Amino acid sequence: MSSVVYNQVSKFYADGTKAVDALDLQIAEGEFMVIVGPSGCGKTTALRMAAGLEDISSGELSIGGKVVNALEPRDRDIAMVFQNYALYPHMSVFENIAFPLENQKLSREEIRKRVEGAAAILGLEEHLGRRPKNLSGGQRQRVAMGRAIVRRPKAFLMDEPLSNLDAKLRVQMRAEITRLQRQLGVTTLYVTHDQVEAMTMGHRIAVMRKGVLQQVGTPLELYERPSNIFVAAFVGSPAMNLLPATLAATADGLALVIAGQSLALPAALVMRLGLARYRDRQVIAGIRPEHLVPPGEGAATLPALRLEIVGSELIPPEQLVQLELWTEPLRTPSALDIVRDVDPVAAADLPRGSSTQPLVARCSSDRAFANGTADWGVVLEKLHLFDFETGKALGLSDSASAGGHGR
Amino acid sequence: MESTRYRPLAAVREVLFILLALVWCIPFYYLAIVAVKPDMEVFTAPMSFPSTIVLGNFAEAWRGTGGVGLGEALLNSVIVTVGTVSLLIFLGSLTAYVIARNTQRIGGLLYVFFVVGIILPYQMAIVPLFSSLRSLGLVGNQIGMIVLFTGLLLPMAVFLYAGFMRALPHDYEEAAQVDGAGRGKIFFRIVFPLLRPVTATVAIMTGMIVWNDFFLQLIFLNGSSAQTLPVAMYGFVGEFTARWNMVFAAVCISIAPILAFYLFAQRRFMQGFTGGIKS
Repeated sequence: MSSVVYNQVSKFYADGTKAVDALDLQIAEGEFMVIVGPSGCGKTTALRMAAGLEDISSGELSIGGKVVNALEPRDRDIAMVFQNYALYPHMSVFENIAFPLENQKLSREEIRKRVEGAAAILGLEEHLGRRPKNLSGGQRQRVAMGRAIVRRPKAFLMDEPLSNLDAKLRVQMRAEITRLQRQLGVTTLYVTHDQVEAMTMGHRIAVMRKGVLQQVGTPLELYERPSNIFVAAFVGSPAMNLLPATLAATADGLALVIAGQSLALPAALVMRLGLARYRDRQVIAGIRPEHLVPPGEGAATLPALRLEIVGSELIPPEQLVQLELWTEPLRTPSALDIVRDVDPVAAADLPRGSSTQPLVARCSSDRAFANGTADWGVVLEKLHLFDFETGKALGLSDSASAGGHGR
Repeated sequence: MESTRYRPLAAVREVLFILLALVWCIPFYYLAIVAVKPDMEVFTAPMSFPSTIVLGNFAEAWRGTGGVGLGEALLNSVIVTVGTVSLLIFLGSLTAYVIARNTQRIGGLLYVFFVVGIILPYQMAIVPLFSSLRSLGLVGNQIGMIVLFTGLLLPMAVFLYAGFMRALPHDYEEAAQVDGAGRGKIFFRIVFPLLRPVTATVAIMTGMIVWNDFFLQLIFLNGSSAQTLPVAMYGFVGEFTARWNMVFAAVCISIAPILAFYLFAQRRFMQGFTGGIKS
C-alpha cells in the first residue's frame, strides 16, 4: 500500500498530440481514485503510464514515494486489471492467479495457499481447474481481480474493468470491487468513462478532458460544485441544464434573465459567488434537473420560469419531464464542443439548429403532466453560474478548481 | 423446407463428385499395382493388373540400396525432418516475435529481408553452398542437412509467425509484464503457447517440404550412410535400367508415415491458415 503521485506528468506523441498534459494528481494511501472522462481524454494513457506500459514524456510519477519513471512494469509492484481481462487462455484459473506469485519465486506451498485464499474471497474455489474460455463474463472478471489481489501489490490499476459486462452484472461487480477495495485497503486507480461508476465507487474522482485534468474531488463535491461547464455537464444523469442568461441589475439587486424572463437572485447567492462583477454580462446558468420544481409545488415565493412541457419519461418512482424554453440554445464553440464530448448522440442533433433550448426536470412519478406551458419553480440557492467565454464556474477561488492551472 | 430435401438432382450431383474424387485415387491405384508386379511385367504391361502379386517386392525394397536399408533411410529422414522443424519453430518464432513487436524501422526492414529470402531461388547458390558446407564437414551427414534446410526455410517460418503475431493482442504480454515476468518468461510461458495454431502450420508445411525434398538430399547425401528415403529410393533407378516396381514399393512404404501424420493433423493445418486467437 502506497500513495501514487503524478507530478506534472505529460505524454506526447511524435506527431505532437498531447495525450496527457501536465497531470497533477495525488492518490493517497488506501484511496480509491476514479479517473473519468469521455473517450480520448487521456485517462487510460495516464493509467498505463503508472503501470509502466507507456513511456512518460515529461514529469515525475512516483509510487510509494519512489520515482518510477524509469522502472520496468515488473519492478513497480503494481497489479493491473485490463478491460478485456487478458486472462492467459492456455492456463487454468489456478495457473492464471498463480502466475504473478510464480514470478516472485514463492514456494509451491505458499502459492497454493495464497491462490486458494484469493479464490475464497472471490468465490472461485470450484472453478480453479477450468480454462478462462469456459467461464462466464463475471467469473472472468473475478479471475482478473484474483490475479491482481493475490500478490498484495502497492497499488491496483484498473482499466474499465466492467465495460465488457452486461448492465446487471456491472452493478453487482461494481459493489463487489468497491467492497474488496475497502476491505483490502489497497490504493486503487480506476479508469472509466461511465460517470455512474465513478460516482458510486470512488473516494475521489478526477475528471479529465482532452488530456487536461478538469477537477478532482469527492463525488458530492463534483456534483455540487463543478468547477466548469464540462464537469457540470459530465457529472450527473440526466445532465445539468445549461442555459444562456444575462445578469441584469434591478432595483433590488441582481436578476438572472433567461429568455426574457427575469429571476431575482437572492442576496446571499450574489455575495457568495461575487456576482457584482458580472453585472450586465452574459453567463451560463446551470440548473440540475431536481432543482426544477413542478408547477404548484414548493413555496409560492419560489421564482419561476415559464416552460413548455413536451413529454415525460416514467422511471418509477421518478419521472424525467422534458421541457423546452423558447430561446436560442447555448451555442458557444466551447459549449458545442462539450456537448460532443458528453453526449455524442445529442451532438448529432445540434446542427439542425432549432431555436428552442431543451431542459429536463426530475420529479416524482405520481403526477401526470399534460403538454403545455406552465410555471416551473427554480431553486436558486442551488443555481450554478459559469463564465460565458471560459466556461469556468463563477465565484470559485482558483484553488478550488484544482488541476485547471488557470487555463 | 422444400429446398433442403434430398432430390434426384442432388443424387446426380453426389455421384458426379464421387467420380471426381475417384480420379484423384487413380495414382494410388497404379502405385499399388506396380509395387506388387513381377520384374519383367513392369516393362511389358505397365498399366495392366499384375498377373501374380509379388509381395516380396516390399521385402526387397526394404533392404534398400547402397548398403543403406529403407529402415535406416526412414530414420534419417525422420532425424532431418524433426531436427529441421524443431529448429525452425524455435528460431522462427523468436525472430518473428522480435520483428512483430519492434516498432522501429529495423523491424520492418528485417521483415522485408526475410520475405526476400522466400522469393530468391536457392538453386542458384547450390554450388557455393556445396563447397562451403563440404569445407565445414557438413556434407553427407544429418546435421548438415538440418542446417541447410533450416536456413532455407527460416524465411517462410518467420513470415508465417510474424503475420500471426501481428494480429496477436498485446494485452497478454502487458498483463504478464505487470505480473512481474521477465522477457524470456513472457515469450516461453505466454506468447509461445498462444502461437500453437501457427506453430502447427509451420511444422506441417516445412515438415512436408523437407520430407519430400529430393534435389538437395540427392546432392548433399547421395552415396553416404546418412541418405534419406528419397535418395534411397532413387538408388533403384540405375544408369541402364530402373527397377520401377522397387521404386513404387519403396514409395508405398515411405508415404505411409506422412499420410498418417497428415490425416491426424489436418484440422490443425486448416486452423493455422484461417484461425486467430480464441481466449
